[in-house]
Amino acid sequence: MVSEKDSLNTQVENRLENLFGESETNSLVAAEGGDLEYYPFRILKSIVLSMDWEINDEVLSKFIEQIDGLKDTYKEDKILLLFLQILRSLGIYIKAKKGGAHPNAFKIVNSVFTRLEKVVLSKSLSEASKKKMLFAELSKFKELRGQIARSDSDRAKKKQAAKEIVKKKKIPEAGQVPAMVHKKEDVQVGFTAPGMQVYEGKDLFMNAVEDIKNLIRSEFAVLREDLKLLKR
Amino acid sequence: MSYTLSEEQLSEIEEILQHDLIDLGVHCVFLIDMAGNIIANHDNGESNHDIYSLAALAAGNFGAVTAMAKIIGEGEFSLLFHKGEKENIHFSKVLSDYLLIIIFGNDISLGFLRLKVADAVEKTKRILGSPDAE
Amino acid sequence: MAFINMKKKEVQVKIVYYGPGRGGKTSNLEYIYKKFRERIQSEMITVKTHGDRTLFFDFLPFDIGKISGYDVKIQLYTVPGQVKYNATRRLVLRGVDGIVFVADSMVVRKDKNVLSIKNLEENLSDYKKSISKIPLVLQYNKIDLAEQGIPVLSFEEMEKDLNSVLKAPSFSASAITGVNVVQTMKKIIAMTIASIKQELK
Repeated sequence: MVSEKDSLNTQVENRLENLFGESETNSLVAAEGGDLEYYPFRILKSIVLSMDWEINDEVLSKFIEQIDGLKDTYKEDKILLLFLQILRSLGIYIKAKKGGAHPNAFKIVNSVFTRLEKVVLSKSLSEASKKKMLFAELSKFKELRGQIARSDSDRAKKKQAAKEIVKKKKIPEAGQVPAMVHKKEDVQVGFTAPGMQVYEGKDLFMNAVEDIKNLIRSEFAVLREDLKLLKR
Repeated sequence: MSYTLSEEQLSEIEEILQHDLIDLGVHCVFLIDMAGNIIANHDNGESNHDIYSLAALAAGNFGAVTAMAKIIGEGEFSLLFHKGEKENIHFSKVLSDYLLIIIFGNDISLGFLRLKVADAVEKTKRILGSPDAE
Repeated sequence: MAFINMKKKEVQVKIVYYGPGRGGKTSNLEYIYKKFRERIQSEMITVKTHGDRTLFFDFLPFDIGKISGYDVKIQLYTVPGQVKYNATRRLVLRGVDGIVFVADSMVVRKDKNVLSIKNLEENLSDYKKSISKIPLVLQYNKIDLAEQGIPVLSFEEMEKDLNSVLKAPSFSASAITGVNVVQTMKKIIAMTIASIKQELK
């Protein structure tokens, strides 16, 4: 009797320890996988993951909508607010540019979200560490803005250059006949192995190619004759 | 029977492959017809694949998968993508006769690639559908 | 359909070896590949079953140099011959420019040859192509079996079964030993290129 009660207690204790233990990893697991309703970033996370597979207006609208909702929820938390603001700006940029968006924009969405999740889920992170993470993402974001500005100006220059070329091309290139280059019709062959077998192979193939060419000429002659007959 | 594309069309297509895709960081890109012929191809200078065999297999693969789609009542699948450990392949149909095949690493997300590919496909369609194509 | 690349001055030509299962289509390509191994730089691609039967196709590409100023690239394909792989055969036939029909000379395969060439005709018509207009060479394979005492149909009997209307060029052959394999290939390449040569001008 006593031993049964003991083993039951042990089981219960172990179970309680597993579910409500004090270690950080356990608390993370509980937050992510345990009680889903309590994780306010669940939907945003699934949207970010789905963007790995497909990016379209619908997904991006949902993305921005979710962020707007979360901004409201976390309006008192300056750090989270800023993370969300970065994500929102990125979302609007990608939605506007789509395929024309800078490739790094997508990488930064993922990295900002990953850091945001860490800040949200980790109970033991200090304010200083959170700020450090935020600043790291902010500087990536600023760098991206610089990259976008640079690539936009490069594109503008290319467009201008292309317009100049088009203007020049419109002048007809009169009197230019492409040079007639008579090349050998032989197939290029390069052998390094000096064995007899190799030479046989080479000759055989060269002969085969010559035969094919002769055959083509005779086939074409036959076709021409057939055509003449048809025309009568 | 045969068909041809003009020098200008081919140059424009190659420009799209280079500028919209290779410059993005994909490893290799080629445009083929459904018979397995290579229309245009570009790579990042580090790829050394046998693209003729890839083209034949890609055309066969796409044909087979499309036939499977029809059997299950679909017109065609909107995503044909094979994921490897380091290299991945993405297929896109261009009009009804061509396929754009892209080989890329894990540094590019599929979602983003699909966006870029959609743009590239639209541009390529305009070139292939132009009066020069016989 | 052959693709002519005006920029690279290159033509790609697709030739398919068609015929009943176990007739010798793959053996034809294997012979060509082995014979000209030094020259054909690419690998031969085969997609086979565990039982060594063609499942999807065999593929062997090679260049034959310049003709009329164009680099000609030949692509040889085989199809799986077994009846159940008809959908696959149709796929491989897409865009075909020339065909070698590899028939099996064994007496016991007589009906299979006829069924197979009818199947070819049907599949071609799906692509609005006519078996009587497309470049076609018939190969009556496995003549080497006669020496082993296995009953084979004569050239005349094969012609009567398969070629009485088409009147296409035909060869008796042995893909295993190589008799007329290369000749068949040369003939079909020549015929195919001649048929598109107009557009090379």
